[in-house]
Amino acid sequence: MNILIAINGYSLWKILVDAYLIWIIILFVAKLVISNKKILNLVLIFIVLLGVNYLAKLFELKASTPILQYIIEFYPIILVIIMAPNIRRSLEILWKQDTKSSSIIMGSQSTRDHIVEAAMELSSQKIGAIITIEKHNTLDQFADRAIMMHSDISKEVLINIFTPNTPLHDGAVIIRGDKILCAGAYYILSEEDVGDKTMGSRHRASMGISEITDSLTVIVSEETGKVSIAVEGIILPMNDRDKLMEYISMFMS
Amino acid sequence: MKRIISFIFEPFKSIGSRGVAQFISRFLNKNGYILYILSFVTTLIIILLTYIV
Repeated sequence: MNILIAINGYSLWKILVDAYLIWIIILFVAKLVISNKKILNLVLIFIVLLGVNYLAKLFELKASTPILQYIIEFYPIILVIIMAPNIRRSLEILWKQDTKSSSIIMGSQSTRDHIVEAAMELSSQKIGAIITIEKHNTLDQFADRAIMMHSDISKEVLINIFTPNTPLHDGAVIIRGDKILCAGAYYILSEEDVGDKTMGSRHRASMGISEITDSLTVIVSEETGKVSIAVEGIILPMNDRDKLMEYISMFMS
Repeated sequence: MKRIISFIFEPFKSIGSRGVAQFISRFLNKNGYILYILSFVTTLIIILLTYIV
């Protein structure tokens, strides 16, 4: 028997190539869908509609079946039109998110001290701040659109950046290793409900970056002066200096 | 009871607000390898249905 003839007269290599192409398409679409919860919600509803349509055909429901067929036929097109901005954003995240740097060096104890001292000082003066500490997932896509600094870290520099009515105070600071990579970086806002009404766009932006990367963000609220951290999609209040230092040390070790 | 009634009258809204999407998204983002396995299994099913059935 010819080794190349595999299944029902089709060549093995053709089946393998076909399977590979389908696999990479499914993987791409799946990653695109799960990167945005709104799109995922609509896809789940579509899957439910497919199930309902199958049952309607099975039980021969004469009125529902054509209507469901009609909806299922146009649903993907409507989904793409309605969710176009979200799909665009998901594509941006998808193509940037997988960039991991295995050689990243976390900051020293001195860097941690400066970050914590700066956060506490800003908190005492109720000056809003977002300080993101990069880990393995690179934040280059956000740094590219910010003001590059590549400067040494000090408490004084961080406080100066966030001082109101200065050019760099708006946006976030990104720290890479022992350097301030950039200032004035803007993040995609999280769609999750942060719960506490005193938490505004600063917290939502910090949650957003923590959802799509493995970074840790220190947030100082302008309204209350409270310090919190955002990591892995959750916000944790940091009531005192020691607790903040503990979390940052664990993260950067 | 309230959940059952809301599911009967507004099933799509009920599905959307249950946090299923959030759970799936978080789980698959944390365990990326499962997505590869699921896509591979889906591919196998499609190939089997196309070439055998």
